Amino acid sequence: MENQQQELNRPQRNNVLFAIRIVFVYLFFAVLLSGAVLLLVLERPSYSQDEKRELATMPSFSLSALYKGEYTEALQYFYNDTIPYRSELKRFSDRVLSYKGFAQDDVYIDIPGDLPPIPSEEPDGTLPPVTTPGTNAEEVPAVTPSQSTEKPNVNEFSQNQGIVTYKKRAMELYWGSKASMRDYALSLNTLQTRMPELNVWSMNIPISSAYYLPPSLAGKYGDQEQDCAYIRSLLQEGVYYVDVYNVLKKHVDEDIYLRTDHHWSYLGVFYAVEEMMKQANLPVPNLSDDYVTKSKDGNLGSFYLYFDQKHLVNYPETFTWYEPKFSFDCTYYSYDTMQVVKTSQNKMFFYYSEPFYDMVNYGDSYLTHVKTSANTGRKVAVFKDSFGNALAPFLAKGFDEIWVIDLRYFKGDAYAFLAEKGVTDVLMASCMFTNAGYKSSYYKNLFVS
Amino acid sequence: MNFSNLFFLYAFLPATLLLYYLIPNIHYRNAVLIFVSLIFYAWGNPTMVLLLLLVCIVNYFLGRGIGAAPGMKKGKLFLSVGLVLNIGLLFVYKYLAFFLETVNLLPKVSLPIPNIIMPLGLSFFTFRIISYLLDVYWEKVSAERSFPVFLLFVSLFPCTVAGPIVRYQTIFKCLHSRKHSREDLWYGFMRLSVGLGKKVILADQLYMVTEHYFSGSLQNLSVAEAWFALLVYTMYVYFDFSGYSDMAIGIARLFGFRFEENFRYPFVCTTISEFWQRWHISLGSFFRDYLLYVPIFGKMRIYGGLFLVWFSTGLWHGASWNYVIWGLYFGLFILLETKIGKKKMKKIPVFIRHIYTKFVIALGFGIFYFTDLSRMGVFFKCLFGLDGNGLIHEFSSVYMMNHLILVLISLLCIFPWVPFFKKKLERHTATIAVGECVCGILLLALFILSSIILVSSTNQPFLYTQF
Repeated sequence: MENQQQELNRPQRNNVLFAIRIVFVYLFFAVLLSGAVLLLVLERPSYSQDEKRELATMPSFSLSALYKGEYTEALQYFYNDTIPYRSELKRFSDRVLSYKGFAQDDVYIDIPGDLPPIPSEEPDGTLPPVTTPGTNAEEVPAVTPSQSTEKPNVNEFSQNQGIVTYKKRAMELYWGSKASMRDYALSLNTLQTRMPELNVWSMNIPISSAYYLPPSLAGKYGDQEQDCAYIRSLLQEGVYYVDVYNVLKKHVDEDIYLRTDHHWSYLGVFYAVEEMMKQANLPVPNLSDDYVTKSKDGNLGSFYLYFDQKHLVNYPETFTWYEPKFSFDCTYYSYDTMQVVKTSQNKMFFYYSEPFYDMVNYGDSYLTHVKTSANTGRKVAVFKDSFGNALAPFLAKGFDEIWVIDLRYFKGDAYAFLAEKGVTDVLMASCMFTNAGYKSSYYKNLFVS
Repeated sequence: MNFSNLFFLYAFLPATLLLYYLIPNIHYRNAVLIFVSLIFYAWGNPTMVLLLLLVCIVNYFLGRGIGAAPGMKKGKLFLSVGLVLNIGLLFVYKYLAFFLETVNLLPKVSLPIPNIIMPLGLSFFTFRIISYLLDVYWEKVSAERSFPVFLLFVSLFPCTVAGPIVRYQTIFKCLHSRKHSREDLWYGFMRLSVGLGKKVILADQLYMVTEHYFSGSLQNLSVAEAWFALLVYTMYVYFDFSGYSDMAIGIARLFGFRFEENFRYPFVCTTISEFWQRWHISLGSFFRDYLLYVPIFGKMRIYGGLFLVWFSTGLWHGASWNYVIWGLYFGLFILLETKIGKKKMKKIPVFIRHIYTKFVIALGFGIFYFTDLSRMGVFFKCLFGLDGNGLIHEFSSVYMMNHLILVLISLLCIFPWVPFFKKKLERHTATIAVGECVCGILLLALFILSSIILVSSTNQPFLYTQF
């Protein structure tokens, strides 16, 4: 009864509501206008490290562009693309949107469009005979600049064939083609036949789904253990095989793969190189004696940055790298011109920003030459995809010279290059997606064609 | 330009509001609105604004002609010219290529297909003009004397691009004189925030889930996935379009215009007829008022009218046969319900009516999505398990669970909880005051959050801008 008496009559009630609404109208206006002013006066970014791209630039005005509608569209695009604090705001929104569901059994799954086909049992087939060209390696002309205009870019990240996140670790589903594996093996066998004086090494690097798939998916797709074994069986005598699959298997409880990136960690790289150096009778790198261990928290890798796995924003990881204590010189060449672009002394790590995996030797950008003081008389050329980028700091312990060559961007004559540089060893270091996928044709183009 | 765009929200809209409210006189304010509306329309394709102006000029004089002789032969002539011109314009820009493609299906016919770019919002503004001409002819409204006011009616930016189909009789008073209360501003911001949230937080995210399933070959979809995808797509269309309508209504209110509702919680319907009274109301009422009773079918008027309305409703949505099938599909159920009768329909238990309507609506949106009829066939086979993919894949549930909160929130948002709670709160001043404060804070947060999400999201244009 008392409550009813205390109730306000309708006009009074309306006044209260009116007052509240007015406050919010002013607040809305404040948000709109302050937003408008801030977006006008704050400095706009020109590059997005997260997206690895230049952001839009202010369009230049012309009547014809205005007439075609291009100017206004470009102006709007510039405005939207270069919002101040873009990266921070993007991460905040990703964090919010990451709560759009649950991780059933701790699993997130992102398989675009169709589910990938479960690979049918492919016949093993036979390896074609190794052929030798009319001219031998010594007779081919010296290395020519690449004719390619292809640059390292993020296109490789668009090949999302299915990503699973399990226990806060993202990984790609794997399947391989035996025909591609045969191309890969044929390439190594051909190289070894044509240049028998070289030590040819094969390093098949499994992707992380080889070890960490959730039980419900394990065995459903390609079997990397089987495929590694298949490749090994195809390699002719004289080609050395670094059994990375089994080496890493012993360390699955350690951080041998990155959780937010499709690459392995530098620790995984270390174990693989350690195994190779043992086989090659070269000085084995020692993490504590030969390297300074550094780390950075809060890393988000390619799965978050390029594969659009927004939920990973909640699981940043600590990235660890190992900087050599010993001395060395690096020279970086452009793939287009084969001219020196940069040099550095005792420094192989740059770009201290995400994705951290790319910090070594500018990622895939340059053909890299490392000169060390190992004095073993051994020189190695590494033909690699991005998984091979991180080998150089560890190989530097045992090789006098290291040439790091991206098989996707190098368009010169590989045989002439190897002969010209006087290498003693050639290492093919690439992930199973490359060796068992269409990218194995890069090897074939370099060494068989 | 569209509304869910940072440039629009933080440059175009504040500048327009400032300019508008700094000017006291209604005529100058109308001039400001015409100016910004033409800029808005011309943004991506300035040449099309000339077409809009030409359409306005022609129809202004036609309207005056009809108004001078309503119901008379002269008026009828002007009306006929107006209808032929406007429908002809729509036909040429939107349907000519489709028509020729269809004709080319005939043996030994191979007509060249013109590549015509459809002006933005053509379907919406031609329908608004047609309704105006008919209303003038039927003397429901007087012909507009002022050309600037008529130009404002046709070009008013909140409803030019993707509706709603606001009729002249709804806003003619506002076009001439309107009051601007702070309540209007409150309401405008409220609807703007809700619409933006629906679009950015729900529709755009649901769209990604839809594309996850629909963008591939569909061959591997299990029954559960197909139904899940259909549910998500149905909600996506609703939030995308109703979000746009909310924003249009809200923005218009900021400038003192009151538009009628375009969506009234369509999924609470218990019959398909009711669904269409709640879904895209401005389009449904347009066809009901101007097309249903066209006396061209003689004794078959009911069937003929229904066929015409639903054929046109389908075709209006796009120049593709799937839209026609979609329209006729709904027409069929409405005919069925008409035959059963309202009383008998009401005797059917409510939950069965709910299941029936949601089933029919969802299947309808399956037709709506696939412009490729062969893909539509594949999808429907998956939907009913005729493709042998089984009920559910081993890990189908994982992806569904990964998006479950989004889907549940979307499901919650399609029901009228807000009016329900508002009614409950209205009993006491204290509760309604607290409710209003909470509502204001939530709407502000929604607006800011949606803006932040827009920074990183790929800008998805509104689905209905293509119509």
